[in-house]
Amino acid sequence: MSTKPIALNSDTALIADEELLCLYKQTGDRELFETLVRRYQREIFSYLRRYLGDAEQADDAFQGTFLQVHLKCEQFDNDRRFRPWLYAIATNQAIDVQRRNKRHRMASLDRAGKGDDSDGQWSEKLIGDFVDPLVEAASRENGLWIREAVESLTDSMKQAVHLVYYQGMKYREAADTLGIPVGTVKSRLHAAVQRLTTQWGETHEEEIDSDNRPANQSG
Amino acid sequence: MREDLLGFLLGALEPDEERRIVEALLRDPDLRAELERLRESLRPLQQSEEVFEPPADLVFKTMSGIPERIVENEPFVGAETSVGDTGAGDAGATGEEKQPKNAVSGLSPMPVPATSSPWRWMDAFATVAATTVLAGLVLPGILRERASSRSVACQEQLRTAGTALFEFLTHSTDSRFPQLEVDGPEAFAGRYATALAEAGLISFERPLWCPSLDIPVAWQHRPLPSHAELHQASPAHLAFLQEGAGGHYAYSLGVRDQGRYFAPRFESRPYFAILADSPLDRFSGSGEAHEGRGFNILFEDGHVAFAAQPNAFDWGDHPFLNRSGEVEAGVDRNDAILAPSPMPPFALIRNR
Repeated sequence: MSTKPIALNSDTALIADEELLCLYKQTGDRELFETLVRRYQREIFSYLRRYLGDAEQADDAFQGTFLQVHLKCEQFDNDRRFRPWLYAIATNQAIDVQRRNKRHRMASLDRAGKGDDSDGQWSEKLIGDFVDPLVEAASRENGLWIREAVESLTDSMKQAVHLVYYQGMKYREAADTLGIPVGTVKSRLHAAVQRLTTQWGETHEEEIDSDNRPANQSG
Repeated sequence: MREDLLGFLLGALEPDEERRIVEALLRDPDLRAELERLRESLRPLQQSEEVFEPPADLVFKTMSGIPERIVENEPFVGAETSVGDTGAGDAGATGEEKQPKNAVSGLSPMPVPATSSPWRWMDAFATVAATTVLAGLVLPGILRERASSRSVACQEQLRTAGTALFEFLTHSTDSRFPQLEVDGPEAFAGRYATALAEAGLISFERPLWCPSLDIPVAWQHRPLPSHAELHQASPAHLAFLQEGAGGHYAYSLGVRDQGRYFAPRFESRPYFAILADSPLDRFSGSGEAHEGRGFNILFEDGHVAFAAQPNAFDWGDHPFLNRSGEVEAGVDRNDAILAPSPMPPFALIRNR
């Protein structure tokens, strides 16, 4: 098995995803497959990590995604783009992992600690030497707020936000990934942004009001 | 319209939709105000744009879980996938691949877009610049991150081409990059690519397509044109060859020095651009390299930089315009200018 820590070699770096998968189907050459894994490791891991909110689950889902790519590569339609197909598989894997984890969590509700702060990679926790602790705290708080707010959206809205906003997909690619019309992606994303904006306004304006009130009274 | 404005802010529209939005925004101040309101509404999401690094052993673990793939007596015949007529239906569902082994003969010439006029090219360039500027106002950091990961593959491709160019110099008696003709079939920027192939420095079979963009159907599996093919082609076919020979990249149009036209002489100048992503993706009709987020540019000293916008560099040189603001050869030996494949070194000279 090839475990070279280097990036793509110059030949495979130039081959399109679809062509790589086609060649892999024809030859079974593991290096071709590894090229695809390396090409997408950052993008898909980041997607799964954000979708699932947990590094370990993202790790599982990532491995499951590429196992499915291997198992289903015969079903890949060469007329389609690889990326939306890959995201469709990754999304399904994420849903499966989430479902499994929900069952697991119900069986161990007394587990200590709240997952979000403790499950990150060590590298995610590294911070620079000169970070203002107040700014950092506010940023973390807002980040946590939005993660929870996105998490509270319906699954269909959440998927539109993840694919289009965070993963930078075109509407058309997200529609291909989710197997729905482009117009539906547009309206779901728009509705999601509206809801998040409203929630943000309510929460944060209240905070501003409550911050201002005593100051005005004392002044 | 609000949904499309949102898509515009997020870079989620197709090129034609994006162009419509840009035109509407340039016309309509109310729409610009609406865009601003929408941009503001995205502010909460921007609070959570961290990028998650994968664990160092993720690829190893993933590959460890992939069983060997059994290939049933199917000899490897090369990197051929179906092109052109895709009436193969859902062959993937049965697992049986029935693709033509040699699709090249079935290719038909790509329709020649009427973009050979430098004025139209510049019009499009202005639109691109407007798109880039408007989109650049709001692109979330995370999208830039993704764009940068895509740009890495493109940078590798540029380095490959750059290595070939520097190798070319070692064969050149006067240390000059490939020479474009002033007129005739070899008077186009993409001639660089064919010159490198003729020198055996890149493969004729592998034109320089950016890994992050689609290869146009008519050019899939098509090799670079030979010297003879360029000279024997009909005007329409020559236009097609000149359009695609340089792939997705932009090449030096050369320089003028004391009233004469030359290929740039290698001087290892860190400010002198010699190769870049093309400012126009002519094949998709879109105007942007890397979805409008920037350009990889290779400089004469061998370094590659990703520039967010095709503005003039700090030192006052615009990569895609000469110092007279034209898409023509540089006005002096230090005036670098890069142009997409079909562009001739002098705008009013015929290259057919």
